[in-house]
Amino acid sequence: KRHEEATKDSTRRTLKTKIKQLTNQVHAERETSIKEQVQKHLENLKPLFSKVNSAISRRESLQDEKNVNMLSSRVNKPFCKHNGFPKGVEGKDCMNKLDITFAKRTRIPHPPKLPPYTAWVYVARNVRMAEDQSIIGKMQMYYDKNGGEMMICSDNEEEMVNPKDAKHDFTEAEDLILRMTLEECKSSEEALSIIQEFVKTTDSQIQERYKKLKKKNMESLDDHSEDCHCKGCKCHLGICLEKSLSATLESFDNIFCRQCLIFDCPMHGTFQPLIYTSEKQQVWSEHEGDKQPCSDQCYLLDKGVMEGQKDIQLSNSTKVQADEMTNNSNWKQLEKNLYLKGVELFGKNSCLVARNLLPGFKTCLEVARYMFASGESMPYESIPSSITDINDKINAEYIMGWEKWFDDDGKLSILHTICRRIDHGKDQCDKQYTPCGCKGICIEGCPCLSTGTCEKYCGCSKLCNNRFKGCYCFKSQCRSQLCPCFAANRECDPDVCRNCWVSCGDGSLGEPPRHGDGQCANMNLLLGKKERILLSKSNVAGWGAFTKNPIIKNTCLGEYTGELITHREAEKRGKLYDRINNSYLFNVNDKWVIDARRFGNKLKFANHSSKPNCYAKVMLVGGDHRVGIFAKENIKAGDELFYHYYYNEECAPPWALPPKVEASKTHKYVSQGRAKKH
Amino acid sequence: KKDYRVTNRLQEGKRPLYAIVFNVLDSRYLDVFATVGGNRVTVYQCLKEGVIAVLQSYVDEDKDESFYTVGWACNVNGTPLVVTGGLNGVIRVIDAGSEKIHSIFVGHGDSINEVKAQILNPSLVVSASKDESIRLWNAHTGIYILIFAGARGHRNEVLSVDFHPSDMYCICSCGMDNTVKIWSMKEFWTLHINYVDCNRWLGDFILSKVSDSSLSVYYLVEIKC
Repeated sequence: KRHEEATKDSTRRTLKTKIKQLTNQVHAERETSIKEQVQKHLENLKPLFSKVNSAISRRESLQDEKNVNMLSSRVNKPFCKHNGFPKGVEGKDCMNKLDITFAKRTRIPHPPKLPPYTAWVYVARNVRMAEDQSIIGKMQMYYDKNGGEMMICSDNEEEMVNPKDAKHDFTEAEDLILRMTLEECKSSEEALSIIQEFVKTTDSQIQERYKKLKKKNMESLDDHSEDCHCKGCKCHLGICLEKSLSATLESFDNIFCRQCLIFDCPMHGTFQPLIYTSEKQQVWSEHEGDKQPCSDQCYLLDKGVMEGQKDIQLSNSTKVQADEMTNNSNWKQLEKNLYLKGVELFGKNSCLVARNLLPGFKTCLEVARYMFASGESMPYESIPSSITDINDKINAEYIMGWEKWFDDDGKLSILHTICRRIDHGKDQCDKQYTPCGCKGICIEGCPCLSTGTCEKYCGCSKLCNNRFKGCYCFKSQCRSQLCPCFAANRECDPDVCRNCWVSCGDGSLGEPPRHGDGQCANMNLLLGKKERILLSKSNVAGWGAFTKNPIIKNTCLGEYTGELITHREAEKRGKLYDRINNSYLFNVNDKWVIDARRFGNKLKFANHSSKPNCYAKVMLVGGDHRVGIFAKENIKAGDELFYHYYYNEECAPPWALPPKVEASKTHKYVSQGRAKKH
Repeated sequence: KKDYRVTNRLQEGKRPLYAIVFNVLDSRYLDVFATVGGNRVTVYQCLKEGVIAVLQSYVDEDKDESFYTVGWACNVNGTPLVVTGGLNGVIRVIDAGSEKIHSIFVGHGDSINEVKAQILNPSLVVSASKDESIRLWNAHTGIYILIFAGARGHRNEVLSVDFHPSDMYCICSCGMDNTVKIWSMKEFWTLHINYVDCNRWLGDFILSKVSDSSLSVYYLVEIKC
């Protein structure tokens, strides 16, 4: 045992010595390179010095003799001169006092003072928070007006000591230490404890970093190997032709958003499995013989293909087999898949297929030959099933990964943050909608059954009972509870509702039949309808929002837009906003909160009132929850807009409390002390 | 090494002085400096034997105004300008050649923390503010040209801002949100845990200072422009 302990001690000391040597070496190299670079840049600055000198000297020549330069004349005749102490300070009390009379001073005019505000960016739609904008794990500072000093915004001192939130940025030196140490000792507990002395982080982060370094080594080794692993493949085109179409489009399928119909959607980042509806119509149209050839290689110019078609019709087995052999051997897997996709899109039109899907790969003539040789032997029904099967495998693999990526501790924690809401008491937990992937009709496992209803983006068919059918309103224009959409706090959808339509253009193409008196009145946020809002100094506090035109009751003033953040992020930011008594947080659903501090529009300046003339309403628009501001009554032109913030009574500021409760809460609010200075 | 001595001492009113800056934009006035404190702006000149002459003095009509920063700029016709800003969030441009107000820049939503002019194009003035934005102004025409704020901008007060010595399209800024930001290249790095209260260009390097309890830590970071 003694021998083992001695061995461990010597190993440990050796390791420490090595680490110290490595650290010193890295520091020395770093210092040398910094000195060299500073010297280099100073030499680069030398031509700039002469440039600046000449520019400085040239200022005098710009001066016109007409303009009297008071500064230059003052140099000759100053107000007063104060003698100095050329040999040093004779005494501490000796001081020259500047006492220019007020009459001699030049007065600077005093412009009217504006209320303060923070710089913000206008956004027409809600913007999802970017990764680098998160403040979780960062220290927040704010200026305390009462104390006249900067304070650290933190309720608990324990939060400061929590290193899990703060990610450690490893430097090159630390990476070297990790690589050397763990290669020798292979991540034993002793090695980890020694490393912690030099790198100040947790064990888990060190191990994660080591794994990343291993991966980098493997990747660097792979870079030296061939780019394409297929044998005998010349990938001068940058695309591996041996892969199938599904494998090539794999990365695109993973980032397609079914709600917005775009790739790499910034709003909904989640993975949504691709779905091919069974109601798809077949498009098999024969090629019209009158069309002109599309290029020199068009099959119309070749009589041999026509003869080939005749031979097929005559069912000459020998020639058909020979053609199949010749054509199939030249076609790669990707080309075959692209051909199938082209047939799905354009039918048996070899000109369009060759031009749009196979340019540079195959000519129209080759496509025509392949089509006539093997086209009829592959009916349409086999295509979607094979693609769907492949996608099912891909989906199963990626769902797990995406869950990790998206999981942001999104649990609905108890909110201590002051957030604006729609009503008292109810902490509405509308759930964020995610399209389901059911086929046919939804069963018990469908997530939409617990969330709410299925939308048009879901994979289930229109016969599904859980799917929202839309409204059938005629005359009421969807303004009242009679409309199913209005009653469910959602906007009408032109694709789903029967008589709600949107006209565009000049009407020359005709318009849908009009059953109602006018356009639907329940698509304000969808169409971006809003009233003209002006900003000015408010009689209540700071800035206020005012109307330019008179507004009728229940009109939509606009959407409360901002930055979509998670509830956890809202808690962190809310603590800071509470300190400065300036919060623009608005609760939307179980996943998102809108923060309009840096992104938004003018409606965020509307002030709170217990007797407001407007009200806020969360609407479901196209599967997303959005906040609209509506007029509660008729509003005159130039009136200031107010709506109730409906803060939680436990942590609302005194000016936002209901009148009855205010008296008892005032003392409690005052007793809340300032945050302790750390 | 040079032997520095105190050769004069001036007391200007009772309110603290927040900024002092020499005019390095004009070779005629390299020994002229301006100070701000309270609602006053004063222009001095250093003479021989430690004598300091008072050349100009300005006072704001608002007694509650408190100027935090001052900078020198230059008109296109060579007239020296004094640019100052403070608590009210309004930048005053004073024509030192005629001892009158030249223009007033309204736009910042809160206090002004620093103003700087570009040495090769001294009508360009950049200002850092408590409203988390940086604004670029034309001191000659009074137009504001750019606002540096928003998604990639500062998330707290901006305390300091500086032009690149040779590339006038490149500025750096720092503030309360633990970051030093390089603008017009759309890149930034987070270096500091506590807030940053000063940054300067040094060739292609940025020298930034942060206050950590009683220790002042300096960082020197190389930026490829």
